[in-house]
Amino acid sequence: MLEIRNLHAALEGREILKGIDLSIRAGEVHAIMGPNGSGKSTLANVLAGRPGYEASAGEVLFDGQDLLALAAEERAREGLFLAFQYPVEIPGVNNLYFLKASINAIRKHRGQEELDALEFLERVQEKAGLVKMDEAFLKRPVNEGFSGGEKKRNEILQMAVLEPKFAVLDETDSGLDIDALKVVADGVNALRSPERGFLVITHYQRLLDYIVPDVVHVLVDGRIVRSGGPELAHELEAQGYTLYGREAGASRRAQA
Amino acid sequence: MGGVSTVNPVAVTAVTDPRAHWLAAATETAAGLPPELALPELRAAARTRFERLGLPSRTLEAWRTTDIAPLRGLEPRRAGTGRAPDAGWLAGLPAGPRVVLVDGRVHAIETGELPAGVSVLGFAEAARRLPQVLAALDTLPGLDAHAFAALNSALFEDGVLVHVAAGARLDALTLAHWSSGDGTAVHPRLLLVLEDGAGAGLLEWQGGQGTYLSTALTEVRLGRGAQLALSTVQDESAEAFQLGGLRAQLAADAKFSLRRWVGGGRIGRMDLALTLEGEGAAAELDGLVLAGGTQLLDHHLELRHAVARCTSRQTFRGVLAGKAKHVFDGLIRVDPDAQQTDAQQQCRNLLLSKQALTVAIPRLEILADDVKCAHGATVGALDEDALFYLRARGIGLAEASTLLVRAFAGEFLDALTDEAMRAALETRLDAWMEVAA
Amino acid sequence: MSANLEELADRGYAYGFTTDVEQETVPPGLSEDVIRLISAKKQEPEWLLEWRLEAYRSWLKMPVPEWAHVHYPPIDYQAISYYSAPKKSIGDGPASLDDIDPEIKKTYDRLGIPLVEQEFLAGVAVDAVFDSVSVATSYRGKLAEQGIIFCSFSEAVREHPELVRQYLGTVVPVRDNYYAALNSAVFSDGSFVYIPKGVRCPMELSTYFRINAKNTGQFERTLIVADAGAYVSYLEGCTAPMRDENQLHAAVVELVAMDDATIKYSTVQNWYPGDKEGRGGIYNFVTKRGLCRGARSKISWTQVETGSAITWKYPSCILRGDDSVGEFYSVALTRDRMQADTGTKMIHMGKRTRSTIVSKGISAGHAQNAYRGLVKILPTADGARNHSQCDSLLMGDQCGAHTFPYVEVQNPTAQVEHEATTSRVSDDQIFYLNQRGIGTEDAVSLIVNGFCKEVFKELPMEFAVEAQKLLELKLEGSVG
Repeated sequence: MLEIRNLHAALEGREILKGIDLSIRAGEVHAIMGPNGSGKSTLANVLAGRPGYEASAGEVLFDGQDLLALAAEERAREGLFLAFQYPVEIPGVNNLYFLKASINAIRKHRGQEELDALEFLERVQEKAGLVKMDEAFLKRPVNEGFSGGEKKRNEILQMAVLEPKFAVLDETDSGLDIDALKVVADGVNALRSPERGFLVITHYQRLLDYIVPDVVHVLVDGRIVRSGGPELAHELEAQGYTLYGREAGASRRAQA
Repeated sequence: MGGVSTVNPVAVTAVTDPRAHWLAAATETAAGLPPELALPELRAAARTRFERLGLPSRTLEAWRTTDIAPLRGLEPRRAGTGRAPDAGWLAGLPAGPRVVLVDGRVHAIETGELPAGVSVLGFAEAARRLPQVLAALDTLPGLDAHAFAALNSALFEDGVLVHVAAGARLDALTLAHWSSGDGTAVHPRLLLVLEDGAGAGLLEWQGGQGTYLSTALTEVRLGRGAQLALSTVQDESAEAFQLGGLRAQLAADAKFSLRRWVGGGRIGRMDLALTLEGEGAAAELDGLVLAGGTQLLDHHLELRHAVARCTSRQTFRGVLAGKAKHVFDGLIRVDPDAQQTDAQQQCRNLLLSKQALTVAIPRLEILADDVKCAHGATVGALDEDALFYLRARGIGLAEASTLLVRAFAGEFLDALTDEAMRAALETRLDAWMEVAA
Repeated sequence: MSANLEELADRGYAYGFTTDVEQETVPPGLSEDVIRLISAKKQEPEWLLEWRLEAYRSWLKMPVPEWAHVHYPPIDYQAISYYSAPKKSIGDGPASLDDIDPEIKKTYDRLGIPLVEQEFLAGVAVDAVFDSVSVATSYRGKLAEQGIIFCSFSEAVREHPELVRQYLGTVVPVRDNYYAALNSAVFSDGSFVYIPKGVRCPMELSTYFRINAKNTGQFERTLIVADAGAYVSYLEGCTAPMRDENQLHAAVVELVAMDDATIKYSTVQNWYPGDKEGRGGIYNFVTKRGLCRGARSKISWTQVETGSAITWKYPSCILRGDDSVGEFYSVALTRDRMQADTGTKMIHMGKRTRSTIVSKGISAGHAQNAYRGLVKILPTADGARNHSQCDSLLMGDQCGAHTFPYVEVQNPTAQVEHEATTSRVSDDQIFYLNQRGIGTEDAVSLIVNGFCKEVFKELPMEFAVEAQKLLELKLEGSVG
């Protein structure tokens, strides 16, 4: 479903991704772990097409299509979803209205009829239950005045409503307490299906206790240095990223 | 007020054009100046500027809110030399190194030994020892249309230069101005120059007796990373006209913090022009104005963000009693290249009387698109509920009002780091409240 | 800001066509004779002619106002024609709907204002002003049943002279300002509304202004009086053809609200703004003022300003009655070389008077957008309240936003608050919406509409939709 081949990417002229290879099939959940500054969020932003993030070499195929050639909104319409690490606030734009514009843009792209107001509302209400989101939030402006946890739940709600083919979760666990984390994980798990792929980016193994991945990759300094099964996450939790370069010295001293 | 000649009906037109009076004074002043302060080019330019501007009237937008009619009939004279400041006033100044100016002329420099790299000099001596620094006079941007700044440049007879060399520090210095009154015009001048990485903490204290006009003008130039904290106590006499100005220019990463306590003068207007010229420069301006009786106290401020990534904060508070009027007219200008500007402006007024008038004109002119600018203005009376609460606890109305005014002024006072000064101003505030309320 | 965004602020002007209709136009020039001619054409009573001449003589003596943030070459008042009307309607006043020149009918159809009662937006009565005269007023019969007068100004002068004479110039005096004086001298037509005591006007009243003729100025005059306990909501829309010369529009609107009366006045202004380089376009110099004369009266201005080369208007409220309420909700969009200097004055005289100001300025391209406002609390206004919110949104780095609020308070029991912010459409917001499948144009529309929401919700439903569409149209463009 998602084929990343030798992807290099730079931000403001500085190379951050230095050759990523990754293949994710439908139905799989892959996790990417790595220390701060290793390029995790850059990977998420490059996949979603954030302006300023330049892929300087390599390619990304999404269902066989050249993903990097598409504009950000086209990628979204093709079914790529990014749950943002820091969802932006958009004053005055009603959450529901925004979601409706979004879902209809995607449906239009797929050649489907637009949802009428009633169908749309039913669908949102159903999904809101999934992430235990109060309906009052739906009527507020997008992310404005939301707490960190509410913003993350709003991201998962959008994912549930938009039903993407492939979702990238960028540090969705950051800033969440354990209860909120469970709610978010339950939301994600409910959406796992043989047709859908996930890329879960996280700094901590904690999230992966709730969203159990099929494959775990370790990203250090812009390269995937190791891949393995879910057990790799536990190994990392125990040992830190000491075995993988940059932080080795400091961490070894800390353990001694 | 004595010494004002009666108007000769034959020469009415000549006398009613106040420019003539002031230009004559400039000629008289020039004759008495030591050669190093003759500064012929500076004086000529200032005269020309003043000739063009004339005394401001309310038809000018910048003076719409400031009626200086009471000054027009005055025609103040040049102050005689050799006067001494009031002894009681002098005794009440904060302890520590200080310079005393009387009627704009250096009276005493009592600084003791200064840290290395710090010079505090009268202008005449500065002209001999640091001529290249003194050359900054009248070269900083701003106040070009301010007639009283032009007058000051044409008429100042002396002044004080504070120079802090790169990396040096001057922790405390009081600059005290005394005006002896008697219908005179005085033109105090300060030039504060901090080179790269220098630091200084200065206190300016303005006082006087009787009737006089002061055009006190302060110029501030901060080099890269320099930090200046300047506190001003404007405590002029009740009959004084204080129409001073300040212009400041900040290089990259420089920081200027200005705190103004303003309580004196029949008319007290301050025109401030700040230019943030280097990236990362920061200005913090705080003012507390206490106006009662028929006082008119104004702040007019132009703060220009000329380059990217500068920050500015302005908080002006006014407490008004009697028939007083307080004007805050503040403009933040953000140039087209000044991206990522962060500018905040607050003006808050507390009206204690029905005859008091407050005018707030917080203005923004924004020509860059990636900026964070906000201003706010509030006007209101003492909170009825809070007053009632205090009274219900047995506190009298006057005391309750004082408590609330103190709370309103609190943020200004609390930020003062000098304990002695804060205590002195708190006492003044209480005394002011007793009269005002 | 991304290059895409900067280009977004451009789209052709959809209302720029001209109507080919036989017109009678007074030759350019202004003199007492021209004023006598206008007055005679309108069969006006002697007192009104005198009133006009007095205004003209005052105007001659007044200096041309200069404003810091509006720049334009001096206007040659002798090059403007002060009266132009489609031939068929001259002298007869507004025809019945069937008698209108089919060309004019077509014009209004293209503008989306069909002059046919049953087809028009349900429940909106329209007075259509074409250049200097009112060409049609719909639903008059139905309104008359309740004693409501809704007609062209000229007709009101003939049919209800006592009412016109009683209120004309009482809110905006003849000498109020340069353009008000000019308008008083030469005004040609406009709308007149009177709502009798206790009547709630059952439908929205609306005037649609259209400048068609070349080299003419439009000087309409609107007077709305809501008697005790009455309610009326009035809408105003404006367009003009695209022409290379600048055209002058100097209107005066006076509102009077008696005890417990409410007037809601909404404007969607889309005069031709000139081309990208700033050639042509309407100079929109308008004086709008409402007097809350009675206790508990309320006047609410809502404006969506998207057109004109220069907009200079300050719809204001004089809050004389105790407990009266003034409101001002404004969206002003400027792009290309447009200049807008707009805002409001809230003059608090009565006790417990309240006012609310919400101003949203959007600048794109090389445009300049200024909010200029005055909140004045007089000593008599015990317990007065004001809250002002002025927000600016910038699109591109060549434009400017200016905020000049004047707050003058002379009463300690007043509470006045003013807030202002400036922000831009951020790339993060655009990307977030892109990531949810929403294209950049739609994303900008969404963000801008969100920014304007507080104002749009004040507009009557149909108008709110129109305004939103208009704004989108103005912001759309070629996305690179």
